Amino acid sequence: MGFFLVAMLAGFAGSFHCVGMCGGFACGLAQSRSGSRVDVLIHSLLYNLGRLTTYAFIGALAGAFGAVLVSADPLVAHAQHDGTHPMGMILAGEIGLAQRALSIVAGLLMLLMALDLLGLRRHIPTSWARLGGETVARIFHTLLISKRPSAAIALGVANGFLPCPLVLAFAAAAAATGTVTSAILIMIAFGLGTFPAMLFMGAVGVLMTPAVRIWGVRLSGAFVFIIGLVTLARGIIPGLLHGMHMA
Amino acid sequence: MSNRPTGFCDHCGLPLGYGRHQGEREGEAGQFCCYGCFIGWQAARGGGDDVVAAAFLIRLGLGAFLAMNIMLFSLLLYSEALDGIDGWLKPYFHGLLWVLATPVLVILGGPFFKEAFEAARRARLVSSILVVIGTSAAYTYSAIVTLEGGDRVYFDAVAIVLVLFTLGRYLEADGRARAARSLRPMMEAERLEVRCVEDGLEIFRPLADIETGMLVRIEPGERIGVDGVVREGVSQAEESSITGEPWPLPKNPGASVLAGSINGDGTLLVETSVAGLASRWIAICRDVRAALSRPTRAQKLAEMVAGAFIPLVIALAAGTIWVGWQNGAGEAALMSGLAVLVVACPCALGLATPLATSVAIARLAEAGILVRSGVVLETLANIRIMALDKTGTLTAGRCKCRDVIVDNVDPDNALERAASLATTSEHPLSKAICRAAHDQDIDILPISNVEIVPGMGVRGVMDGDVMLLGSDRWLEREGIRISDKLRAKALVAAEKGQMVSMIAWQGVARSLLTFDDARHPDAETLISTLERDGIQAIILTGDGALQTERFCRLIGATEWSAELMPEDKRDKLAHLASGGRPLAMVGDGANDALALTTASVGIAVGGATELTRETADVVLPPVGITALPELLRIARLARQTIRTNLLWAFGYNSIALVLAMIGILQPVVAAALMAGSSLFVVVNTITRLGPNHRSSGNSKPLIYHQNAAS
Repeated sequence: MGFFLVAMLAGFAGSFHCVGMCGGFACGLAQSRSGSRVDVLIHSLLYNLGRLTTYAFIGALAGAFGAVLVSADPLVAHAQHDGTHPMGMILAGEIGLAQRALSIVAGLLMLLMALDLLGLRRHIPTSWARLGGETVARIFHTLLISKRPSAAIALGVANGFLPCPLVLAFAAAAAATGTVTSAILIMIAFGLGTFPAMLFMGAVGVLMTPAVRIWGVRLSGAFVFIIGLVTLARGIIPGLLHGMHMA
Repeated sequence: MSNRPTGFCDHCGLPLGYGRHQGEREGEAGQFCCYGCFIGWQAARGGGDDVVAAAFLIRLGLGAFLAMNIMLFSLLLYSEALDGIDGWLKPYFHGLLWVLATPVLVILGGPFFKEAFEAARRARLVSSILVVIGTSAAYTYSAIVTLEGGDRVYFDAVAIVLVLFTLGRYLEADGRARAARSLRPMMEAERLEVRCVEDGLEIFRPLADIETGMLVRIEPGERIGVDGVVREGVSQAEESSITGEPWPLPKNPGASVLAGSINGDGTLLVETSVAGLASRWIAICRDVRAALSRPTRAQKLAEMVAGAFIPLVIALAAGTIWVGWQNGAGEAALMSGLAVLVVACPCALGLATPLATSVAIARLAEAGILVRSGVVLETLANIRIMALDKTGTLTAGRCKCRDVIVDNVDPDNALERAASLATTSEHPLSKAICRAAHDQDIDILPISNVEIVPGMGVRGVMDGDVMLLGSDRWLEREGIRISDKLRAKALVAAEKGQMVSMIAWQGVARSLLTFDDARHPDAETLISTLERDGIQAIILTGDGALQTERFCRLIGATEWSAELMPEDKRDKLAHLASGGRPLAMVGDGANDALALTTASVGIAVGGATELTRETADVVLPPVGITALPELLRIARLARQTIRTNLLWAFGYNSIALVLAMIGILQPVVAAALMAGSSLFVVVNTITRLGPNHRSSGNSKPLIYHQNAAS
């Protein structure tokens, strides 16, 4: 359970950055709807539900990807076939070679993202950003100015797909689990962690100065760094921390 | 750490950090701490406040929300998670999936159903029918399984296929919008609003309300909406889409500005010279829109093929299911059938031609070249012979009167009489005579009984004398006596490549006027370009044989035909085209109208006047033949793009179809492939044909600054 808790905490801390960024959408959502407070709350809930669904979906895709890699491991396939523990499985500890490799790659990716969040590394090249930026921008703008509740869900769904370093980091963690269920659960935990700040972002936005917010981002970077290290270690040192393996 | 960017994100207010992004939207620059902020900032500044787009996006988002939930539950249901759960729970899960899938079928499938149904009512098959059949079959099957308490439902495939298809359509549409971005100002030209200055106040008014003599303010970087004269302000304007002139021209008080040109970095106050909707720009925009609405041959063919394709695919899908079922594949056969229907959807096929044609026409329009239709573009890519008129086409059209050689009369008297006759004619030589007279302060005298003989000259009466101004051949035919001296001088001039004209009165040729016809600066380049491209260039002219030969040698042309009347040109073209070879004629829209309509493609030089737009298939901007190589290049590029698009659409569809039939391709993957196919066509078209970077901001300010400095 520790793993999910850290994911949730990282989501919570990171969401203060989201208040500045993704929260901009949600703020816009709240402002553009001049209804009662209940209306605004319902819209916010729908928006966050959409976002959570996208995160879970990304988790499912990542988990399925991981599961395919793991099941393609000849040793695992062999072990599944005759029900024995071959030499390779013992060498690899609790997990197969493919999953170890997956853990290493995912761990490194998470460390990179953590450096990103800590403000120590330059991320996505600007040229990439230019590629689809205008299309994405138009989608968000169009959804933002619509007053229908369904637009809030759509906005949340689209928001979830934005290439945020936090989401990428946890997608990598999700893939490393090698099972669809745990992958989905990790992403849901992360998504739930972002809920409080995103739900009440009006207030958060006022209370939190940019200085406070940047510390939130740094804190979430630290959490991602920890999870990244753990994931990496699981790949490198056989048998370590298998208590965290959630299968 | 020393080069760490300083400052704050324009969107969220956080320090920039290393993940800095720089972006621009409608001239406004910003810097951001991350990609998300960049997008957020752009979104907040808007642009797409289109209600239709909003409704579409909401449907898509809602559909994706439901589809993702369906997929999550399906994954849990059919993967390891629920293995331990008793079977009694399964029907409830199936029911839940059914409940979630139904709105997806309605909101995302609805448009496809509607399209297919409306087409069917007009007894036509459209590609939507494939999606409709596929998804409704899988949906119905899954519903029956749910009711009967069966083992496996396919609501997830239904939902995801619909989402991917809808998303594919959207991205494709967006790509198209981007590809045709240069068309946008032309599509919306009449809706442009301009800043009118009335009593010191600025009021936005639509072009329809603009009348002659109103004052309009034009801000830096704006598209100028009206034809007019600068009253205040200093700036430059890029007029390429009207005149074809690629460089910005200085605009000072007194200079005229053209609607459709782009203002430089100064603010201008312009007094309109025509009504808002009477500008040439508006006429050009109407022409371009008309051109875009005419389908090409290739497009009609592709539509026909796509039409024949659809029943075939339905048959193939049915066959796949039947064969699979016979061989005991069971439900897997149903999925293969669905995959066949989804992957064979000929969307890319329908897109391949019209997109490339529109983009090409838009791009040419940007360079000031008007193409009447996509068919013209297709024909142009195939032409092997190009006939060119000489005067005004290969020559700059502004010739100079060089010598006035007289035979026993006063030269000033001869020029006075010639100029008086010449004012009645629009011929380039007449204009040269008038200019010469003007330069020498020679007065124009009144002429009566003026008669213009096309291709020959002008006749008129002054002080009771019948006077003729025109070619020596015409004078001879009219029984005018020409002295040996004038004949000899005419021969000498012709050998030098000069054009000649004679003026006669009282039955005798009195004076010989010789003209230098400046070659168009790009005439030689054009001839060599045509030669390189394997296009046979033939020069057709009404001028004398000797000067034509001399001129052709100068520009490197090897084939010509001189002393042709307009009807002769037409006959000559008909003869050249008799081999069935497509043929283009380039000429002056007014004098060569007959020839232009005879050729497969008539290309008029000298800008879009009312007359040329009637007779020509292509109108070159006032820079004339300079624009010709670009026209041919784009036409060929368009043909090439269409070919690769069609090849891809056919090839990709065929391979994927085979894979789907043998059951390798899952419906969800098939749907993703299909969206990818349409996207390929869009991306291919943009990368090959799309607007080049000339007009995308970076180069323009540079040019302005250079101009300002020099």
